[in-house]
Amino acid sequence: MPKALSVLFGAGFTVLCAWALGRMALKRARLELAREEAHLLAFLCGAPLLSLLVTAMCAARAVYDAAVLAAGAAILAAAWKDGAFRQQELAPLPALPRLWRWLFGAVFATYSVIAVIAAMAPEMSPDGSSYHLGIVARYYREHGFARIDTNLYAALSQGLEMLFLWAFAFGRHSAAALVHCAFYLALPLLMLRFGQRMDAPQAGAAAGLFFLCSPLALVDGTSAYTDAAVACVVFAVVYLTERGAPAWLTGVMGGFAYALKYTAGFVVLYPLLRLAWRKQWRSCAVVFAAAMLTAAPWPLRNWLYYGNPAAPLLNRVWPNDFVHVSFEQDYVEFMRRYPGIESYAQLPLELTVRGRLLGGFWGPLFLLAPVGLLALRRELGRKVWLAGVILAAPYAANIGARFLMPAAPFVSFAMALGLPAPALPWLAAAHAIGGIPDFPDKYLGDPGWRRLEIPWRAALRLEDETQWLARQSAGYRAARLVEALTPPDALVLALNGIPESYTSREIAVGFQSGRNERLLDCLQVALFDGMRPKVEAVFRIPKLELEGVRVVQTNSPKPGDAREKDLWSIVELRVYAEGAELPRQPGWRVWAKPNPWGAPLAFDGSPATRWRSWERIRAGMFLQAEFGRAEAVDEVRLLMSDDQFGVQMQLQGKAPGGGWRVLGGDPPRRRAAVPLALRRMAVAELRRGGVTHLLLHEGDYAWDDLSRNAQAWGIREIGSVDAYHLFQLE
Amino acid sequence: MPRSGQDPAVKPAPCIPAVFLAALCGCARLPGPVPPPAQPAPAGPPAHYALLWEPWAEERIVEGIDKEIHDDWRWAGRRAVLRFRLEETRGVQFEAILVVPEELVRAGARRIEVRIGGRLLGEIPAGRAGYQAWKQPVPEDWIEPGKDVTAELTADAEWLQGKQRRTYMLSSAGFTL
Repeated sequence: MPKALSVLFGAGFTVLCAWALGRMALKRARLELAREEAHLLAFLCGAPLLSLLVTAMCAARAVYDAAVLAAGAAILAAAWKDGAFRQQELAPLPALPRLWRWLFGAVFATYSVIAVIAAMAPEMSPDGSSYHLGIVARYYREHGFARIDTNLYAALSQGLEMLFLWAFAFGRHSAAALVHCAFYLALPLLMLRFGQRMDAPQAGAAAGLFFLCSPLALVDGTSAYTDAAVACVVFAVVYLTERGAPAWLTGVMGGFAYALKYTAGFVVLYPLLRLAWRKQWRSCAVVFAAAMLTAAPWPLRNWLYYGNPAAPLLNRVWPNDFVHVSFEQDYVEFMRRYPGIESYAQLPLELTVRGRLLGGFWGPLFLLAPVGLLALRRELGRKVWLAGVILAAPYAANIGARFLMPAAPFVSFAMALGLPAPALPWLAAAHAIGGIPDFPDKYLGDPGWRRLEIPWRAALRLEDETQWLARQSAGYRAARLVEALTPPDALVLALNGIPESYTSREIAVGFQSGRNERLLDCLQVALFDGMRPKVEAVFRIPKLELEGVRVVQTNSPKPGDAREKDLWSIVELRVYAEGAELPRQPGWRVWAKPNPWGAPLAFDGSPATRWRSWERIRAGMFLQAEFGRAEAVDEVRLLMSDDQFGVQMQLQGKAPGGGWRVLGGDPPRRRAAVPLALRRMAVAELRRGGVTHLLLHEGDYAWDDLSRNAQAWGIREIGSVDAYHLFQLE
Repeated sequence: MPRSGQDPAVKPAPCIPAVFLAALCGCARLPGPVPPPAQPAPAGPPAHYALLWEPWAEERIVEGIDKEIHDDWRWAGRRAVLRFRLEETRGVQFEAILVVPEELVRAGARRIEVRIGGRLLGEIPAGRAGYQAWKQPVPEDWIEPGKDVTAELTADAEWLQGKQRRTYMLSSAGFTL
């Protein structure tokens, strides 16, 4: 029970501080507010300010419990002095019809109880318990920002994670989830107030319930995710725009939307378009500037830490070794078409009633979404559609169900405006009943991600947290195993994610950053026949005096070509004259494009490492060595793997005092002997890369060889639980 | 250019993102050319594998393989024996890469037996002409690290090229992963 209190305190303190900052901001905005919207908007408008404060504390590495408590107390004291706690005489909004007052009140109260209980339960959501809170926990341990080069998600904007951090300091994981839940619950109220403001109270109430009771919104909004907060904040931007709020406030909220999720930054287009329509250019500039300033910490941090302000995206624009272009290319394709989705015609049913392929479902009510087009007859409907279209636009980049969350409130609103008014209470009530955990199971079979129960015993910690998590969360016990059996400075390479927020050890999941991919590549070079250094490409040329040699890629496979996704790699580049290798001298200079960081790996004498383009092959890529003086050369040998059939190469040489010129075309390839100690060499490279342990699951592709040949690899199993095995590198 | 009557204060707004992006684009931090890393001691030819186009492959050949190198292969006799030494014996396989000529098939060949340390590891099918990359895991207890082991490839037929007895063209053989 004391843990439950700390959870409530952590979340409550965060919401209260945001509200207090918002009260002070709204006072200065001189926005005329009604009683019903004043506190709601205070919380939402204060959230970006609190988030910015925590961001500044992170940058100053000043995140200590006492500092958070003191800063919070200072905020509350300032707000008290500013009169934020004083009762104000505010006019009420137009009253809701009686039916809706009762229906909305009853459903909202019921769902609030369910949501708070669900959010208070130990956090077990896949992304929440792994990276959202894993990164928050890392910041908390390090008292501020840290360059986390083992997790690309650390480079996403983290506006909400800053609020999570404030709550985490006191209530840990569940307090963070409860903060997200506060946004989830604020949104239906905001939609209701918007309806009241816009002279469509029934539509506002119905739309609020449509969103609130959706199974996906419930499970996401009660986890340590960000989507419901994004939906809430983008709706607030539209609300403030329509309420004629000062441009700086709308801009701050728009910038905060970007700080919550990159794609939510599109919402700034709404006020910009509305203001441009009215030719209010100065206000446009203020909105834009305020949004840029609020969003600025994240590109700035990314540029300083990762060399790419848009990390983990746009890696070709800002090349860096934190995220490989090849990863981004694959990831973007994957997100556009999830496994099992063969046609976009599958989307309507997957998004509304199935949800297994797209990670959740909105409920059968949303099959009526096309009716929302009827709302275009009304001015309010057109505004709602404008916002909906702006926020749905990025959906094509990731078709997961929850990526519709920012647009969902507007779709809900359009539906409520388009449907016949007498049908709305019935539809809202049916949707509400149908969304209660776990009613969907009764009428939809076993659909996708949703709340399966109302875990009140776990929420109140009447049931032991660790036992509950061990039962509910795959990988939780593995995280605890890592915590128990490794030293504090351990770096654990894993092939798949675990709930890393439950361990203080650094987990490097194979695909989650450039560094991890490079580490994993060492392992794979020894593991997979096609990736082993077993091919030698030999350029033979007439003996020449050269100052350098360069191997250039000449093939650019067309889209759809079977070799389109090939990456280019070279394990070793060796230069010969009359059969004798030219020794690599300290005066040599080696370079590559792309991936200049990896060029030394082709000259390190290790068959376990290789320079890789880490970008799909295209003509013009090269790897080169300059000798610093003229050397006689008649042969260049490239030790390569057999996993790059699309690669076509050309040898260029640098004549003394001259430029680069072509010396030869695609070289013949022959077999090379694979070192039998390659496994051990790979593990030595992992050790050199900082890895101390390997965490494998029996379902991992590497499990069979690594477990069977553990001694040959030079690893020793030190513990196992739930099909996870922890190995120490020897 | 601002038109008359427009507030110049608002004109730079559309330029801000372009300037910001251009400035940041110019700040991509790419490393320049660097010296090669410290070099390990040069390793000699591998003792666990024979690339038969290399002169040093002679050291692996015990008997039954021609001295003459043709491009990247040599003729193997009916019984070819190679000697290897392995530094790692766990999780290794024996591999032979060869081409079976039509003549050998016509001579009635069916298989090439592979023996490691005298024990039968398997048979390379030789009933069809063409390229063969044959690989088979070797039991760990058949080989000892640091000790010589012989690999014996015995064809069940041979043919005459002039006065020379021929079987197949062996490109490489030895232990691998």
